[in-house]
Amino acid sequence: MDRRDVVYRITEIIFKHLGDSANPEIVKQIVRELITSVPIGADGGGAPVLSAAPAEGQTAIITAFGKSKPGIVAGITGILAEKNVDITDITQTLLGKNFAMIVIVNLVESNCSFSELKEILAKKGEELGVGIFSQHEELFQFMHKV
Amino acid sequence: MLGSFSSREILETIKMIQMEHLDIRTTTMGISLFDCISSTVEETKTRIYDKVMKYAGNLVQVVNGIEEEFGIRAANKRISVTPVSLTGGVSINRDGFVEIAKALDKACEEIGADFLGGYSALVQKGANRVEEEFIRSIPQALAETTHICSSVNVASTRAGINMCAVREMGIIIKEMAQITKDRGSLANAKFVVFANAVEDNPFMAGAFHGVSEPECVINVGVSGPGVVNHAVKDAGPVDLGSLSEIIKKTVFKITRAGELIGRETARRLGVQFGILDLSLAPTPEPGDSIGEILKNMGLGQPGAPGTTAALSLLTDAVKKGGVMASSYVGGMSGAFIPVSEDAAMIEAVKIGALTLEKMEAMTAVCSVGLDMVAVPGNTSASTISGLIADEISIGVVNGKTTAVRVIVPPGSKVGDVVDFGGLLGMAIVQDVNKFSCERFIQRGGRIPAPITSMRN
Repeated sequence: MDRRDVVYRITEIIFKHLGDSANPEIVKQIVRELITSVPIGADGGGAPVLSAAPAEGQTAIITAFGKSKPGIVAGITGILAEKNVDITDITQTLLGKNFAMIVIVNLVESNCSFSELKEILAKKGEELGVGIFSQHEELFQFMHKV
Repeated sequence: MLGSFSSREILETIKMIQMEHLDIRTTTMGISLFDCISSTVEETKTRIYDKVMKYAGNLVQVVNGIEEEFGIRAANKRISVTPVSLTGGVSINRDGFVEIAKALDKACEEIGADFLGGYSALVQKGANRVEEEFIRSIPQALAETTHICSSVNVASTRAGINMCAVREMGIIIKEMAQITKDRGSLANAKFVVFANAVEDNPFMAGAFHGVSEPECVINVGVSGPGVVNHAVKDAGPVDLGSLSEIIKKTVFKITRAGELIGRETARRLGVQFGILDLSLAPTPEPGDSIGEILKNMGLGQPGAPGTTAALSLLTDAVKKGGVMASSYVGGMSGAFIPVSEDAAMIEAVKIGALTLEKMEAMTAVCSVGLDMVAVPGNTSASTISGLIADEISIGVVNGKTTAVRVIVPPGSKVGDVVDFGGLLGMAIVQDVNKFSCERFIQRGGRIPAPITSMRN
């Protein structure tokens, strides 16, 4: 069973036990607490959590590439703040002559959808003259962790 | 470290996707048509259309959504169906089969998928009356549809080679070239002749949903010649054992991306995940080429002495790297060398480095065969059958899939360029041995299945 299935199963069980008193907000809250406090591995077998993801599909990786210039970090983090997206990690590194910035974000509290955020960031990238790519974390998880 | 990743890992993935053409080459939904068989053409085609729409109706939308979220391009969305020759029933003739092809084409068009494969027949041991009728319908069906792909399996290691079917293939290939000559003989690019055809192949033109397949599956083909090419280039002058290791590690990562997308697509569509095909499939994009990998491995040009050895190393490393990355490996799983779709291969043909005979040798160690090869318009049907028989023999004796997809544009001469555009690329008409095989092909019959215990 993968992590996503585990989350589904937990949600199902909570709904079943709460019966009539279940409402989506309460269930969401309980699931979130459970997932953040109990480590669930990719194989559901109790392996250590491989990422800072509070819930599957809620962590995204935003990468910005291009010639270094002032305002890039502010441009990106400004949008993230506006959309209530929580930054869990951030780093900047050099890739040849270009710089690369990587931001890991948590989308649980965000007030827009992932695809909207992706589009807004890509547009900002065009303005700033850098490429900004947003992806769900799972792709990296699959490619780099066995 | 960022979360559980290092910056290097994150940037490596971004680089593969943004600069090295890593994509999910095809997400192919296989659909069984057995429950659509009815007593009339009208009813059969209605049921087939309805069933394809029911299962694949939102295929494109779902795959596009996944592409958006995971940030990896899912280049093609395709459909494969049960070999149409098996859905005919007793009352269907040639025209009836063409009607079914049109119904499938209409469904594919409405869904927004780019190709639908499975206008196919499996006649390795012999064709029944309906299958004979079906095979004769192929040229017209391909000429009158846009998205339909067709294949015929004429041989297997267990059955031997159906040489009557091979003879027929030469004739219908010429016929479809003629009736689509105003479109560069495009029908030829959508028709494959197989030995040991696989039932879960997600790649076109040879995809069909095999008879032992379940109701509906998602099969995925990943592509990454560009990524492997960069890895080989960056490796520098290491020995070949080390090079194999580098290719394995790279392919592992590429395959994982495909596994994720395949599983997620199947989950969202509520169907079974079938297989992941480990083939390296090139595109006409610069750098996204098997020929380029061979050059970076140390060959002056694809076709130079050493090419078969280099290709065997590459194919083997791709399989070894990919097999652990996926829960279910299947399909073709090897390196494709479709000449027209690979910039470095086109170049090698153009300058005379790569001949048809060398390509035939190369296909003994990779998938899939003489693929997207153009030959002069005056090549006889029996010579085409001879080319097919040779290629198919390699597959039969070696217990592997081989195929021929040959383009015979009427009036074309050696060196002429046939440009299909898009993914199908551009083919250069190649020279074919001038000596006749007419009497051999006219014999027909069946070449017996080979003995497999004495492997020399």
